[in-house]
Amino acid sequence: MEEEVKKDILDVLKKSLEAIKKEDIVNLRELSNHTLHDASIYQDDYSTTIAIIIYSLSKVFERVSYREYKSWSMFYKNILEFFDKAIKALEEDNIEDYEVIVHDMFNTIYDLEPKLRDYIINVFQGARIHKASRLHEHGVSVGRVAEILGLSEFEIMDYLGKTGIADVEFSITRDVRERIKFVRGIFK
Amino acid sequence: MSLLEQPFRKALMEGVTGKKALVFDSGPIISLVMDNLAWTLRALNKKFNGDFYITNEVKREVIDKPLTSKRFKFEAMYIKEFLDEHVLKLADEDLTVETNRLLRLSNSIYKTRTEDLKLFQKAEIESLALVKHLNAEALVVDERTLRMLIEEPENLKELLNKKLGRKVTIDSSNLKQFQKLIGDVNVIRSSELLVVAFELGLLDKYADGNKRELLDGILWGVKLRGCSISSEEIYKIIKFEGF
Repeated sequence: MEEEVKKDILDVLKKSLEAIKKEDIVNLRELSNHTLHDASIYQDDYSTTIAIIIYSLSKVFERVSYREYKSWSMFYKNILEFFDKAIKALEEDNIEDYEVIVHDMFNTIYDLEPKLRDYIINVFQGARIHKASRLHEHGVSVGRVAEILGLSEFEIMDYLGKTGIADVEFSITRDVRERIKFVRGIFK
Repeated sequence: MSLLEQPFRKALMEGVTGKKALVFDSGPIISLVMDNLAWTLRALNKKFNGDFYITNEVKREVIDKPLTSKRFKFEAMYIKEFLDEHVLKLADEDLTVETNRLLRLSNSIYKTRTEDLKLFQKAEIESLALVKHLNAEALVVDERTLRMLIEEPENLKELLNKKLGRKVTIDSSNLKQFQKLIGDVNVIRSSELLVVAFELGLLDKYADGNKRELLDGILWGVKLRGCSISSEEIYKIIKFEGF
């Protein structure tokens, strides 16, 4: 793990833990955006995974209705434990432990009652696509984003169409009239 | 054969095939399929009087990989039919050397203080290498990053600067080498192909007396399926088509 990535993840984990304890969902979402810079630059598993985790948790905690499920308290306890352990592992520079802790966090979701489990799994899956579109928004090509996140370009293209990414001024590179004129020419 | 020998290659290809070529990246095929407009490729292919190519990497992305999934299996089967009918042709050239060289260069043009920004993937760059190899008329690509690199590399730098919140610089030497290798590449999108399909009357049966709405519908359809065309560009197209 790159030193800068480690520093940033540690910072995000600490701030996210605070945000969860204070139920500050807006801040949690902002923290997930912050992780995206590293994910765009380093494109490593650590940065992309933490971006997906924090974004997903912001979505999960946003849904107050989830808290009515019997196993919610178990989920909440597991998440707090995950943050504590992950922070400790990174502070001790124990990357192997950190990887196991992240892996275990995903596994604990499967211990939840079926409905809550399925909701949360759906949130995590949606988060991957969302982060894919955000990485593309940050300038990474669709193909490269698909490669980094292990997604299909079909999924990404479909999602991108619903965003405003194509409307950003930088995206317009040639006069559309000239481009069409050229295409007409080659089809004559 | 290296890309530096392109003039020779161009003469050779023109002499051998005498045919025009368009090279498709994965994106436009996906946008057209998802918008139920891929069938227009058959008529466009005839009108073009040349060949529509895809590379092996693109085939892997739009056929081989989705064939193993549940969600896009049918789309993959549907696209395969275009290959079977030779509407799309699979380029059988081995472009490994050219592709790797272009990939290495393109992924070391934009830099932060410490990192090269790896913005591109093999399939996209292989399509670009094929455009040069075949001396094709254009590269059909719907996503914006590769188009920006080819047409407005400074715009891409500005975008990266703004989005990453860090200073991004261009390695001018790598950019020049990249530009020298690719030469003048024309880039078009599925949206422009659909405008020509519209002008050729291929979609008239859907107009129901209102061609403006038809044009608006097909362009928004492809935009919402991922083609990087702006709302403003759609508005301009509708206007200069006389509506």
